[in-house]
Amino acid sequence: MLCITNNKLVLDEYKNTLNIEYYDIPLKDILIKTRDKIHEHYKLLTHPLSGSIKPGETPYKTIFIEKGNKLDMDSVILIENCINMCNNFEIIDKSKYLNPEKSIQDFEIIDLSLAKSALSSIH
Amino acid sequence: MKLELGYILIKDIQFSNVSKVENGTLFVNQDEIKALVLEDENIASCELDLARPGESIRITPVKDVIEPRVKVEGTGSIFPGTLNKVETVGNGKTHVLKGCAVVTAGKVVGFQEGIIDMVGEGAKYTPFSQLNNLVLVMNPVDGLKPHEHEKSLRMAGLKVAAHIGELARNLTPCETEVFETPSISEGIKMYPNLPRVAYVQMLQSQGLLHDTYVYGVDAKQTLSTLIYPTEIMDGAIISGNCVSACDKNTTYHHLNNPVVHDLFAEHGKTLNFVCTILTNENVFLMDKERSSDWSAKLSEMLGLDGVIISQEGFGNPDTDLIMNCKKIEAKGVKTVIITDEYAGRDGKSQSLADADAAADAVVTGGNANEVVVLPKLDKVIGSLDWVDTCAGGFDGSLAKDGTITVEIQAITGATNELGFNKLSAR
Repeated sequence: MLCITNNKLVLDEYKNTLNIEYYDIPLKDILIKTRDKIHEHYKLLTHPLSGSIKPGETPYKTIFIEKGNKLDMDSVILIENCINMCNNFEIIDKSKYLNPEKSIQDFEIIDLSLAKSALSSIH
Repeated sequence: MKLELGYILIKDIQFSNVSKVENGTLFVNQDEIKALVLEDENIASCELDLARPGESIRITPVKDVIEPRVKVEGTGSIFPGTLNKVETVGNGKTHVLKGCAVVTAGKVVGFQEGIIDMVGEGAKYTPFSQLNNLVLVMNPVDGLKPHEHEKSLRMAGLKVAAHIGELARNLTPCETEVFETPSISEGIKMYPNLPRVAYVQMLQSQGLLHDTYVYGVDAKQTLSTLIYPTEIMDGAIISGNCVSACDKNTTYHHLNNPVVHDLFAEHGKTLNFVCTILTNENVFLMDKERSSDWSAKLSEMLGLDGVIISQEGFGNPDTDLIMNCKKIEAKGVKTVIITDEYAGRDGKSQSLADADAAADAVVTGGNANEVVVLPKLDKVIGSLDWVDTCAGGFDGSLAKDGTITVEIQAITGATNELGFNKLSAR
């Protein structure tokens, strides 16, 4: 299993126990990274739009994938649909948050919680 | 299972020395309610406020909306497994204070959303502008973790709603309504020629601030299961969901689920309303496969002819919705799905993150990306701190003149996916 994330909190929490690729890039680019992996025969384990916090709202995304031996078409379709959905939202500049530290930290916590929720099912 | 709902109509709400209901007015003793809320040592302070229809008041950020109810006959108590003992509800008699609600507000996290305007353009988008609301704004003790904070607010809302519901115990209802679900075998005998229809209700269950509880059980840890629709009217399902204001199902929505009410209205006339199937919306794709497999299997076992499927939330649940739809259709059972749309501000983009040819009967709650301008209102209960960063808000949302330009996804209940909203093409 491979975890793709731009959330430092997820990296800190799982760097010793999970196979993680951390990138300091925007949410949509995490989805594009994941798409590239899917074309290298990885399969989605978690939903790319996990959480009802919108792509234009949270900057963080953590996705779990698994290496297979062929292209998984369900994953291809789902990731493409999710990348398309991102275009429907106005992306907020991180620096514009009124209380940036507090909000950013909360978004990290929520993303970590969604990751934990998925991991509890995976294990 | 048979439940009678007795409605006591509330036309006004006021603070008073004694909590009571008299001539359609709900009187609330502030000290009594505060003491109840502050029993929880995680809550540092609590302010109460009133918001009536037509008043120049904006409530935000809203966490939950709860209708006060009390069980006066039958087994169990209101909100079983969460506030009260886990005994089965949904039978006997329940009194409802109709026309009022307890609204919990206050920030759980730094970006939370949810606007209820009691007047003006925003009021048209939320059903809660029509209620006499008792608003609880609660502040946690320092250092409280978000999940503990959410739980405290959730429980405080339920406690206060149940406490106020008790005021209706010995009152005579203005109107009553009876809902009855026969057993499977009785239903077949009673309505041999009517189509057998069930309601598949999807519950938000993704994680922190995205949870729903059924008899106190976190829905993400459940398999798809069966429930009498009347159990839901007694608070068997409660909301722990703080995000996605426009399409989250508050506890008020669950108690008054319009799909349940409308199916009962047609029960024995045009269809046989067999039961409700509860299923979840987890993050892990294998959970989605399992839960939708079970919804389809239950639909088959029950010998259904059709189901109505409702969703809660955005993105991730679109996949559960489509999985439920196509797997149930594959069993030969017709489906109608209820969702909402994120189709961009011009409404021209693809609305859902998933789709399938089997989803050929769709009801929409509206486009959550639609932009509205909300006027400046005289009073704000809660805080406007978050408006630029909430879902549907953007840099400059809150203008100097006090108006707020937002997408309707910021408004509580605006595109509700149970159909409990006001948007219509008519």
